Amino acid sequence: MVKCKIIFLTFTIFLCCSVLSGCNGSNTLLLLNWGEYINDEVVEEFEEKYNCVVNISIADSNELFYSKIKSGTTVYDLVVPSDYMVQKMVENDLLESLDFSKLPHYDRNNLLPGVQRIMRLMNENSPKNIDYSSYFVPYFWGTWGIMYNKNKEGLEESLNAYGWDAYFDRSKLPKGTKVGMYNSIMHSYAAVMCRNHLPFNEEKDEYISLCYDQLKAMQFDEWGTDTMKKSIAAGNLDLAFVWTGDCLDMLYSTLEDGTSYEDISFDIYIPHDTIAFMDNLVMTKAARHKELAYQFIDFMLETEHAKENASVVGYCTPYKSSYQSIVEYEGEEVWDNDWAYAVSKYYPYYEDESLYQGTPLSFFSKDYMTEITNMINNVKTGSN
Amino acid sequence: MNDSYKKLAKPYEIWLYILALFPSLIMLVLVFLDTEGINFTDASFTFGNFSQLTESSTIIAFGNSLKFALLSTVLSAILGYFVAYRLFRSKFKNKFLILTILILPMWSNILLRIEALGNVMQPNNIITDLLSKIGIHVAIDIKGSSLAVLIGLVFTYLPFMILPIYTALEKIEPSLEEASLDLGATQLKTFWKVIFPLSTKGIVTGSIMVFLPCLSGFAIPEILGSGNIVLIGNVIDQFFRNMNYNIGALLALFIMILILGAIFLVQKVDKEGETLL
Repeated sequence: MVKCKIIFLTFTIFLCCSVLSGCNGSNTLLLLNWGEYINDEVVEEFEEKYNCVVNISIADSNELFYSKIKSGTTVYDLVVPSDYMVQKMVENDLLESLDFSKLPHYDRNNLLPGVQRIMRLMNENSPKNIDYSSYFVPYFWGTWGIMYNKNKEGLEESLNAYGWDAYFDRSKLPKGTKVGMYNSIMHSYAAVMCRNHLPFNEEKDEYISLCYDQLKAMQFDEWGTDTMKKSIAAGNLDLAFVWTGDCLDMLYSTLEDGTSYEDISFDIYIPHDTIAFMDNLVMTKAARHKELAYQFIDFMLETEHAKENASVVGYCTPYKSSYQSIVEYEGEEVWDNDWAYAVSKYYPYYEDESLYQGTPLSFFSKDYMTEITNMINNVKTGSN
Repeated sequence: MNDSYKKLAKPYEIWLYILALFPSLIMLVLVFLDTEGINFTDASFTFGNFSQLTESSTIIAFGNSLKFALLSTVLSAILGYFVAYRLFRSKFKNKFLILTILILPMWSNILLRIEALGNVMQPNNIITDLLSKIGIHVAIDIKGSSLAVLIGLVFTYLPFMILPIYTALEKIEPSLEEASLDLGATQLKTFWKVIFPLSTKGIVTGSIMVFLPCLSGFAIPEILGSGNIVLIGNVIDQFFRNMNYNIGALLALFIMILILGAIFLVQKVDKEGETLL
């Protein structure tokens, strides 16, 4: 019987080890990404060129990225965290400082002014004087905006007249407007901060009570995520604070269904004070396939690949060369023309970086996050 | 039982140790710590997490969970009993076919079903579209209300109530009923004095099987309640999502204790475990 137990124990340990270590071949790149955030065809091209396998895992929040990297049960080579999470990962010594000589296609002058601005803001709002830009290569970037139903009479006008105040004040909205808030505590907190022109990176109790009052007063009809874009397109919701890319995603699929630009029933209003974000390719300190990871990053940096990659994701490429190649399209293809129009309209190019909209989020202490979580739950349950 | 057969259960036992017992122990440890994610390197001991239990939103969310779980159990029991009894009484030869039809919706993914249900609960959907083409303009707009969540819960868990009640009814010896009728009891009296008491086992088992997932679930209220209705499962989900595994583990263990209590109750009622499907 004892023998039997030993056999089972060994078997169990073996099973655990094999499950935990996963595919750990020398030619396998482990990438931790957001869902639907990469062009699989580009990945296949890379796999063929370098005769390797890219193993993509999915997580749906920056916080999950962090806990997966920190716990280290699977050693990922590359991750795609947003600005504030890159800061946190760097400060906790989880990321490898990149050797840019191994990335011949990376040219900082090729970054759009808006991207350079976010990089500058990241360094500015850090208390520790770290140059974060040596740890990442920008992957996609974009803003948040207020998506609205164009068929709701008077809604577009009040948004243009009052901006954020329309979103937070029912008396400034047409009667019966259905308003949705993004169901992420960080983003709903940031929305209130945007409206009141307050900074994202300070932790103050008075901000929490301000958030509570303004969110509660609004009585949102829905606290949703990426289903809200569909609800607006279907006319079941009129107004929602979402990723600009969410709206574009909906736009592209509606255009593909054969609807013309004029007949599209929704649009997005991007206020000047809003959330901007930038997702970045970073290499973990523990990465086991660093050479391959460098090759992958460099491959994704090539103008053509960055463009192909952007064609399946609703967000904006950070590279000037790819951006220009998208917006300066002059052929006959309907899709490419629509794409060029949408990108230049929703992610406009400015030489002057101060014209760019939005501020990136910053990370909060655990206690402050708990306070925000409880505040949002108090809003939803109606307690105080 | 033959000893060699016991060994066949070993793989599952090991599975259980790795994926149920071990994580529960980790959760128990996490409750008393202040950690970053599930990383124990900078952990410090604290009782601070327990203050979350007195937070008003936690109490309301917990109250909501109990309310929805109780209501949907009672509704499912009433509706389920009618269906099971009708099926038990029917002269239809192929009852198995009807039972299959009852569990047929469960063959498709629960989230898809709930999303679809949510869609129908909104004013603009595929059905109202089709109806408006032939001149009928009807629409309901209940998504986001308590009613929507309740409908969703009952819709999802009703089969779990019907099956145990039906099994309990089928097990009743027909001669008992005949005896009751022979001795002069009316149909109604026979039902209340003979059939119903003998089928309560099924109701209890079914109730447990409906009550538990309703108590701990978070997907159905999240989707059909449009995020406006917060159950304890949603609070747990939020804490895990934002990397606070300590408070998440505390609330989850709290629910787990309740669930264990309920299972203990089932075992009291049903010692042979025969009605548990």
